[in-house]
Amino acid sequence: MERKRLEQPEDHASDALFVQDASGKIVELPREMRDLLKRYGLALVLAGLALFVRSVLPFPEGTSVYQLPIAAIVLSAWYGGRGPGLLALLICATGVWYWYIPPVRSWDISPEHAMGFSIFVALSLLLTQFSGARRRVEHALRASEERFRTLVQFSFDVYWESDAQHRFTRQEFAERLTDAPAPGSEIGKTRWEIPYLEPDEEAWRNHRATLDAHLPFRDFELARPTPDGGRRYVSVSGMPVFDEFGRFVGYRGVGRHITEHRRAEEERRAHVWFLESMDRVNRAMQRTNDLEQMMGDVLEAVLEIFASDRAWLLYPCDPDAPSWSPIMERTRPEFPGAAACGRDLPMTPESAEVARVALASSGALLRGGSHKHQPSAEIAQNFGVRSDMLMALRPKDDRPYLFGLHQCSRVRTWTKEEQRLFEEVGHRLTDALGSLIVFRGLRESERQLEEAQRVAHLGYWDRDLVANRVVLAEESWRIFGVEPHERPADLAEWNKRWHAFIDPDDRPRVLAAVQAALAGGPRYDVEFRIARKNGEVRVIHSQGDVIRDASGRAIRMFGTQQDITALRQAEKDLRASETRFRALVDHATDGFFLHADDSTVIDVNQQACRSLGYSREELIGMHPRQFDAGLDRPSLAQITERIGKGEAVTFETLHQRKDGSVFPVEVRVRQFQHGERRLHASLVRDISERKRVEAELRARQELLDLAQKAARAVAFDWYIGARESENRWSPELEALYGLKPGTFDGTYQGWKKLVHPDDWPAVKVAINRAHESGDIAAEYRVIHKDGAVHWLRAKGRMFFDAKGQPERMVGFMFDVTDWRHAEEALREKDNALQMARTELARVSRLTTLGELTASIAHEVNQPIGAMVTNAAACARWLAAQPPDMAEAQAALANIVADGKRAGEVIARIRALTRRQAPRMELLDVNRKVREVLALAEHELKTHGIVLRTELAPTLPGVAGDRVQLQQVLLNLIVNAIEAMSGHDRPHELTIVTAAKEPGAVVVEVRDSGPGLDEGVERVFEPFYTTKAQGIGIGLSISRSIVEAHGGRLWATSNQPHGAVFRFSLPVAQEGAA
Amino acid sequence: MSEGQAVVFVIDDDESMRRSLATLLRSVGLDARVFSSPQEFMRAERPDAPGCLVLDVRLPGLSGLAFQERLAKEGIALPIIFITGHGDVPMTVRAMKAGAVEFLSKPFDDQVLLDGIHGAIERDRQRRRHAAQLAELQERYRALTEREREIFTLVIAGRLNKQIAAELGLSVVTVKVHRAQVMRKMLAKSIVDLVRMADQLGVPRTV
Repeated sequence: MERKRLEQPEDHASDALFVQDASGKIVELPREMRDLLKRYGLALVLAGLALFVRSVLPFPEGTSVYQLPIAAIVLSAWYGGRGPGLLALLICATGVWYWYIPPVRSWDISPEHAMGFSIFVALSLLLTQFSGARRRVEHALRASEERFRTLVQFSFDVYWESDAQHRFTRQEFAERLTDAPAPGSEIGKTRWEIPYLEPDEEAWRNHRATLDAHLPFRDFELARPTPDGGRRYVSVSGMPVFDEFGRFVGYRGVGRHITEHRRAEEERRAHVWFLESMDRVNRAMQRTNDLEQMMGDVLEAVLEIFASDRAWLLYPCDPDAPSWSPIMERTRPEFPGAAACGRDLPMTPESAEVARVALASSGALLRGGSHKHQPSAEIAQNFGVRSDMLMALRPKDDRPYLFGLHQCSRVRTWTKEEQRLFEEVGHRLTDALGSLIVFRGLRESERQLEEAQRVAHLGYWDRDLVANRVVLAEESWRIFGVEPHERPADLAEWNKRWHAFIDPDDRPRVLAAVQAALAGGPRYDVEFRIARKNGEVRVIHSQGDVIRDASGRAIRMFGTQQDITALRQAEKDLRASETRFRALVDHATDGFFLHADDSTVIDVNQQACRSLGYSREELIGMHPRQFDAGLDRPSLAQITERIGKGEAVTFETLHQRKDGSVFPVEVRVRQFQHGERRLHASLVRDISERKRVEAELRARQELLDLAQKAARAVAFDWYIGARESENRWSPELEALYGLKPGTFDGTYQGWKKLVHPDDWPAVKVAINRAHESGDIAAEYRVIHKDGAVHWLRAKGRMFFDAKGQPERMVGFMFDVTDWRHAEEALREKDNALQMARTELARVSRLTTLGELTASIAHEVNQPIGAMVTNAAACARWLAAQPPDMAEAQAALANIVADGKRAGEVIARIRALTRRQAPRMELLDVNRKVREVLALAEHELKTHGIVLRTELAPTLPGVAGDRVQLQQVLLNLIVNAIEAMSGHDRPHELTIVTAAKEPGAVVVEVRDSGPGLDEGVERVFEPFYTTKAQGIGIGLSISRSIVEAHGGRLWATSNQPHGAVFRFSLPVAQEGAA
Repeated sequence: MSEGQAVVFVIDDDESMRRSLATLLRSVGLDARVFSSPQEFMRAERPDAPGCLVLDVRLPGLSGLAFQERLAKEGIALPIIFITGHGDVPMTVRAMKAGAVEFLSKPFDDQVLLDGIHGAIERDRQRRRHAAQLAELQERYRALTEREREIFTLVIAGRLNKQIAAELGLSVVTVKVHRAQVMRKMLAKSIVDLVRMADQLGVPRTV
């Protein structure tokens, strides 16, 4: 009502409305009033201005300038409506009367003036009339607006306008609305300043962007809270409004309350969701008969339908049970549940409470969110549950299950629909579980029975004599080997078949047993053989009872049969095995005794009888003391005690025969369990022979020791490879090495350490040689602890296993220190000869003098020339103006370096001496090789080099200088020796002579040194050397000698290591020598 | 052809020798380029300037004397100064016969070497100058027409115009014109001048 009162005045623009405060002071004028004042005010101001202009400006009489303000007044009046129009008319009339027709005193108006005045009045009236037309238009407009508003009121629930800042300036609500806000309560606020629940910030941002862009919008949906805690959904549309100058002044639009619409839509959706979900769950249940599969499928479906994080079944839901286990669970990957841990959950007080509550309730228990209960702290902590829904399921014939859903990702308030669906699923699941559990139990027992029958090869049979029917268990059929499609139609047919199956030998007995049973005789219980179709024979044990009717007539036979073939076979095998074992024991070469717990003999074998001279019957019942002559009571008791502990005891003793003679034996005893009894078995071996051999060996060893002492030789026996750990040295051998008895560890490395390091390469070579030839021959030094150096010589043989691997070394070791000293003394005498040999080698390094001189001169002149030139340059640098000290110094440094080099070259040359002129003669190359080798023998030995020669049996002679060719050979050999020294590989030098090329003899010198890694040809350059002491001239000289003989000298690499030097010499022409 | 800074090439397989020669030549302001082998020298780019070659007789691969022959065969006319660690008379003779400027035994006197080098460079310079002159003369000679060359040959053989005219079946006036043309093209001031040019060019005196 109040709204109407307020609205009414505003609808009639020409009337005024004042708002007055208590004192009657006007505080606000309505808009129309303000407009009126503006219009009349403007008219008055313009009129005043016209009068002012008329009075001040000296317009000539009779001009019609006054019409200008008059027109302005009329126009403003026109704009203003009826009131201003009349006012303008009045002013005009007054003006005309007062100013235009002076003096008033006279009514003598000229016809002109009267005419003008009349026209003016008429015009004014006309204008007023037009003004009335405008009012009518306005009225029509207002009516239209009213209609439109009514339309809006019917079509929409709210009409609104807002200003440029989007603040509501006007809101009109449809009368039918019951949930509209208080009128005016939202005026002056923006849409988003009024409390809302929806949409989210993002949507608001977009909406405001649309408004700021001054674009129209449609169906912007929002929800406002209602006083009763509900939601009021509103859908708003709006259009921007621009004034006549195109300026944006605000929005106007409409809104619809869509709360009801929404509710209906949601209800429908919930209903459809419920039906669809149930359908899905049902299908999951019906898809399979497998309980596990069904539960899994249902949980899977439930997990998805509810969009929850975990769906599970716990069993049993019993607060008194110690624990419950998650029997099935489906979860989102990020929220694994208890089943993933694979363990049972203990029934804590909290869980028990949950189980109790669930069991007490017929429906679901909802927790979390705005529900009354919250998930217990325990599961919230252990499984991160924030909301859950639980329900106890009570399937038939089983303990209750607990069915549940967890929400971990967020707090969730379950809706009524969700609860309803959950409960419905729970009920369906209960039914499905019940039937499946029954089904499963039945199947399981059937399966177990069948399995038991199959395992025991036991089957039942049932003969209905009246109905002529036969029923056999599956296993029974299997026993007979009858396939399903071969089964007989009736009893008569089966009887025929059955008779045929039975072994002919057993048949009469079996049939008689059947007849006897039917006739009321003994119970049917027979064992017989059958032959299956494929010829396989089985042994069957069959038994059964006869069922009779009231008259005593046999109507049915029921019984079981069992395949006992395996059992019978096992029995047979066992008997055979026993016999075999007995025979084995009897024929054993060792005596075998079986003792009771108190050591009394309870059985013996033939050998035991033979060795002791007693019969088996005599020995049984004897105590070992009666035939043992070697052990006293305490040691026998000790042995018995050890046997009692389960040890296998071996000991030597003497046994006494029946005739009183005594022989040594080795006894091995062990206790074993035979059924309830504990027995001892002992194995007795006659060791008379072994004892005799041992004694003999000992005697021989003593003899050997004596011999060794006499010869100052010590035997050694050394295992190689796997048995190395068994190596033991005799004290004598250790003494040779200066070791205390028993201190040698027996290892190869330990021995290696004892050998003088300088002799090790030679020893290594000796070992390698032994690997090839089997002969051990080595001489080396050892240093005793007291510092004395002893020379040891080893002689012996190496033995190999079947694969050719060395296995053992046996031989003698001598201390040859004294002998060595004597030899050295001898060698010193030989020194003169040795000196001569060295001299020869040194001298023979020289070659044709010319070649040498040229080389040397070149080598010496080179640095000297450089020095002189540098000196000259230095002098010039110093003489220059100004002197260049840096260059002079560099030149001096060069002089120093060159001087040193010249000195080195000269030092190398000093050793050279002159030699006499060459003399040509016919030479045997093989002989020369042997001579040189004899010369180099000492060198080879010193370096521990293995020499191999492959000399051609016959070689043509060559012409040459004996000394020069010897020198070439010697040079190559010395080079080879030097190349090989200092390398750990076997040192092998091979000399080959052959008439390989036609008309030429080739000599090869191979070594196993490092080889020629640089350019092979470089080694022949004069003064090229790899040796610290060499001048690097030997090969150059050798080549020039060979070439002087008309031959060639060249080098290649040896495989796998080393170098080969070959030289060829032309065969001497006949008569050349 | 430019007459740039003279270059001394040194080939010696001994590094200290190369170094000492380089510093010596540098000390007298010569542009020295050193090589360890003839192959290296042949691979290197040689400037178009007067120069000489200081060559060790004993070299790896190719001996100095053999290399001298090869240079001659390839038309590289560098004057050569031999240096050697052990020179003998036959070697010296062979080198000098093949056109060597000097044959020095190490150690040698630096002044002798430098004199030899300067002499060789001067010789090369002259050779290059002569070669340039000859080339110019040949250029001029190539500019002559067939007829003019005939007349040129006859003029330097001392024939008179009349004789030439008769021999070639031309008029005397024509011969005179041709002869004047020859003198002009060859830039000869006199008949004597022309004859000297003919000597240099190796134009035969008789027809």
